[in-house]
Amino acid sequence: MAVKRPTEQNASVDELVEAIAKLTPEERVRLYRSGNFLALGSEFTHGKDLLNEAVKRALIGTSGDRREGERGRPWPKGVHIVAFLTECMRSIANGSQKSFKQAVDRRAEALTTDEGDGNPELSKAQHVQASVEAELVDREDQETKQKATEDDVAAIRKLFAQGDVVHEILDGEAAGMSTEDIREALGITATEYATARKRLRRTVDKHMPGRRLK
Amino acid sequence: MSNESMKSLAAMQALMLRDLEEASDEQIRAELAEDGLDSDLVAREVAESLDSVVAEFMRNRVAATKAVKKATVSPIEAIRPSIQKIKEIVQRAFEVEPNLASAYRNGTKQSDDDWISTYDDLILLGKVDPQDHVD
Repeated sequence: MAVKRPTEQNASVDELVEAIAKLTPEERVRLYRSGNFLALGSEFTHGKDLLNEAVKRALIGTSGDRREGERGRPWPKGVHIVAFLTECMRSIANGSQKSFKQAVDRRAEALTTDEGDGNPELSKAQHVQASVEAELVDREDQETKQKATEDDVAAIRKLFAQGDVVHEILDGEAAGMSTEDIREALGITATEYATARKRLRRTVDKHMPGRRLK
Repeated sequence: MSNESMKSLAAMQALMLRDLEEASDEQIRAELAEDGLDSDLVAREVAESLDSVVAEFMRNRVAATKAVKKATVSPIEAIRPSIQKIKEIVQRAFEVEPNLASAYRNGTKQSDDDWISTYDDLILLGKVDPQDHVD
């Protein structure tokens, strides 16, 4: 088992384990809440599962001992452990949403040689069968996920009345506008913006404690 | 997922995470209570859950190392000290490396066989030198 030594920037497994053990109750609660938000639209039904996966990948990445099929992310010591685990969760959740495209890319890679020609190791029948069957299964899986995510987004939107400023703030944020630009466009004060944002968070807390609606 | 849904979801998450970041610890505690959740219980459950992930990771690594070492290290049965001494050696090794202890934590009372097995593992892993503990 080849284990890489930690670099000056990256922590060792012992340092990571110690940092996880030393998380304060308040930090654990924040990670719990963050996990629930980030699990929306992903394959994780609860934020705690997403957080567990983030810790698992951090351990794998930090140990440098990544086995086949495992994914890891080392912890750079300069980054606060809560911020690091939150980013891990975001990355895993995003990866889960994009997994269909990755699966198709991997399959396309397997079916061709490095030069981009058809892989001579596979017969034509194998090519067709492998690609069609796998793609059908993946497409079905992805359609299910896509539907679930669209349902989640629609369900959250429905929690706010038509014309509620929360919708407009969400639209502005989705369009990549800055907070100041959104406030200016909507003609609202910083306090009104903060109140609407808090209302969004607290409404989701109450109605979607996990991924699904209560 | 349509591009629009993805952007909408990312916007929701970004707004909620920024708001959570700006909320004070007292505020979050009060919100959990408002939602019928005990903040201490949530924190404890998260700790236990993370502890299991760490323990599983350590167990897997120990098992992999053992598998490699078993093929090269000779049997050690003949040089085991007394059970009392084994317990002391194992406890001392865990005090020095608490992370190693998590790999063996299972919440149950340890039998003598468990202690012996753990002692053997620690020798295989190079954490204990049997020559240092001959009775």
